[in-house]
Amino acid sequence: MFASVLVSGLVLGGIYSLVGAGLNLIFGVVKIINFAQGALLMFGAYFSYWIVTWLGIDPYLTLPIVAVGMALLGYLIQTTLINPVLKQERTSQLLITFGISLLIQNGALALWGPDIRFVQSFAGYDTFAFLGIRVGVSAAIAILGAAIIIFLLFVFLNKSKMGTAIRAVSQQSDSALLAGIDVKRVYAIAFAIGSAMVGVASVLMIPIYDIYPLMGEQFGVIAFIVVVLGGLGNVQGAAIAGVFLGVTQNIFAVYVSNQLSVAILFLIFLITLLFRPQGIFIRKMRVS
Amino acid sequence: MDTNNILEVRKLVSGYGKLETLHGIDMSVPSGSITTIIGPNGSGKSSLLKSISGLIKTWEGNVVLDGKDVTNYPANKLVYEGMTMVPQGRVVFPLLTVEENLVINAFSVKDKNVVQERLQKAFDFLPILSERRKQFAGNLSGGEQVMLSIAKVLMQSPKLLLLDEPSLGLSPKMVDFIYDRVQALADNGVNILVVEQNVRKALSVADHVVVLVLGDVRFEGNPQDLESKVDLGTLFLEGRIA
Repeated sequence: MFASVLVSGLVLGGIYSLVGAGLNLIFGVVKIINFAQGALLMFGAYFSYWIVTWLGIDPYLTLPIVAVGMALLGYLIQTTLINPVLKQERTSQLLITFGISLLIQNGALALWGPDIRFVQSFAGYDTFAFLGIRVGVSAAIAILGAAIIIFLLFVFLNKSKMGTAIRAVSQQSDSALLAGIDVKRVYAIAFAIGSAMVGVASVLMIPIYDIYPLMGEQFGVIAFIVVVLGGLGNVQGAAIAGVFLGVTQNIFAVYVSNQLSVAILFLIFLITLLFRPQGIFIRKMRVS
Repeated sequence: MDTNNILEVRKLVSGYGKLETLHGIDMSVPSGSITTIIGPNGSGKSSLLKSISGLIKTWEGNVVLDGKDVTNYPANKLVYEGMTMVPQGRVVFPLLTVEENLVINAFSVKDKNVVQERLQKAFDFLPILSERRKQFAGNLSGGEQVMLSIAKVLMQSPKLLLLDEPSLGLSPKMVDFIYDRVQALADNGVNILVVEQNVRKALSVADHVVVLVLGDVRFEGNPQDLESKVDLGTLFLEGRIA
């Protein structure tokens, strides 16, 4: 029993990690709070759903298309909507991503209706035995997929030239300019990566979770808890925090109260803000 | 224009927000020189450097680098034109290692061999950095961070280097060491424009001096003429009182 609770907690945690690490990357680099992260998750899910519906392929095969498509969308959002307001006051910056979020959510409602949709992957409800416990194939794919993407993000940020440039911009944007880095382009790339991670998360989750226009809301909000817990701008911390929250939420839901399982996350959030607002994880590999 | 000048600034007007802090600056940096801008606090020295290097907008006038009008080029483009700037204070990337700090400054260089060559040159220039290469720059001492920011210049091999108050907050011994390195850069053919609060130090290394008071140029010429033609004390006091 506990083992399977742990597994489904890890699935949820993997999704939180991807969405939260993406949000934290955007925050660390562009210094903007992206309220549209949850809406983008929902959009990615529909994106995958329509490809599956039109082409009749397995949802997992849509992953590269959705990831690239979402990256392009993120790049466009940054260059056309956010870059122009960066010099303006803080409220404009806050409101613009909030506006994008409303636009995507209500657009989805208007175009596709409030119906709940779902997709079937090749994995179906198959399970396999792992260390004596039954694990769903789609759950295993979600956990492994999230871990691989987070790992790739670290390698990219720490080993590649562009990754180093992204970290440089997040630390001192003026010095980055003077190093010859096109800072606005780096902003767009960071937003693109943050969006692509959400795209990956949506593909990994839809064989397990339902698709509907408000499905992203909970994830968008919890992504903020992930960010605070992991430390602002700390991508690695966010990844660990995501897993921690997912597992905690599931254990709480099963053994204490399903209704209060999300509330417990907010309690953790409040306690963190009160006693350790800098986040609870080590600062190594921090990007802010 | 005078082809003997690596940099010419003509009637430059700039400022912050609506506040005009530079009221039509004319000055130049002769080729092969260390030029220094001195002046009291708030006279616009840093604004002038930021305006030249593209960190703030030039409202009117021109900035001409090596014969090419580069007015309002963004800072990252100017790097490709051969101008680089070391801003005031500790401006290294604190959570990048010393080596990463150096390598990232060669962002405009595509050839990896060139980057490695320059990295070696930077380590030869300031050997202490070689010992610290794997440390986070944020863990270096203040003096070492200034050294790092100067070594970063070598990664770009610029025609013109703008330095904003390299002596700020350093011990006299460290100031001497930094200026020794600045002189070495100049000896290697880098033209240098340095803004300095430490007037005595600035005048000891400069070939060409610009005195800036309240956003206007009050003197431009060689340091020997400065003392005979201008009463620096009065000029600095004027800046204070106004």
